[in-house]
Amino acid sequence: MKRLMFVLYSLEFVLFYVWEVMHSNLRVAYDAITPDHHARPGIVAIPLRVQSDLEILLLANLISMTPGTLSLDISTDRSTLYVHAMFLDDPEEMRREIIEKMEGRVLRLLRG
Amino acid sequence: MIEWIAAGLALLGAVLVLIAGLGILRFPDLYTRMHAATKASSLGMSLLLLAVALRNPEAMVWMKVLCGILFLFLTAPIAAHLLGRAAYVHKVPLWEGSVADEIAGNYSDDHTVLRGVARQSGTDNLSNTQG
Amino acid sequence: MMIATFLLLAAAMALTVIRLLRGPSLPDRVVALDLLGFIVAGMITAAALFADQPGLLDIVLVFTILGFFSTVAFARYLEKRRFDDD
Repeated sequence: MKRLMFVLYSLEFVLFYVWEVMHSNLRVAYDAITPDHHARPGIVAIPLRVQSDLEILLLANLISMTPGTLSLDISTDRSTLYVHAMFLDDPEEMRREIIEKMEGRVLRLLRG
Repeated sequence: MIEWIAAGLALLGAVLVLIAGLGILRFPDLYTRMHAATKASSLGMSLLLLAVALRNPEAMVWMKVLCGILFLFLTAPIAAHLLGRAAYVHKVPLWEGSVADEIAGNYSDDHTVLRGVARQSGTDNLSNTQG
Repeated sequence: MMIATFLLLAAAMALTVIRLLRGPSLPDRVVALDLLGFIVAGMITAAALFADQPGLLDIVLVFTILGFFSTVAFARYLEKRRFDDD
């Protein structure tokens, strides 16, 4: 049963990943083609729940490949991920979104 | 039929690579440019590779293509992270339109330690602010 | 189709070369160089597709790997060199 759930979550994760990659490309494309800049960039600190190397790798990769976010660096004590966001309207909102949407998925996938 | 799909995929991939080029030229600072360079170019290259695999459906070609795509998606974020970090340490400025910089002041003077801002249970922020 | 693909890639290359020449900072040039490597790999891939030579894929793989390692090397170099200049 647990293995089945893992397979299901992996499938969902891959689909989510592919969808987000396409979405991110459309967004970058829109901003690159239209003549004026819509970007409101900035760097936000994301407090992390994920601990192991694999979890952090997966989360950082996911963040880098998804719309408007790019992981810049992780703090030495591994408690915080610094993320450069391209459309940053509200840092709190961005933090909540990344923690819920991406970190939640990674944790669900790897910890069940 | 399959040839046309492959050619269409290749064209789409080339469009994405062109968008990466446009982005890298037009975006206002290094960090936003890296957004365009990592995302658009990885997907564009993947589409071009997939087009080759569709046109030549042999096991060996598919394997090379899938390895290539996996490699692209594993390494693009790593390259972006290393470059972004090197640029920040190098004091490449953010665009003046940037709205936040929560990394500022968290590097130690010699840039070997990056402080966190942890607020979750267990790790107290103040206990690891050495450096 | 073939001509359009190569034209688009060539246009991307021209834009990237402009950024490579303009800078302004060294990391900007490294990003441009990285993308330039991708574009050349993309051109070889397009050649593999339209000339029906899937053997060219080997070159593409080597190119992407080399591009990644050169970017990593540049990033390390930039970090080490930060105290000496600017």
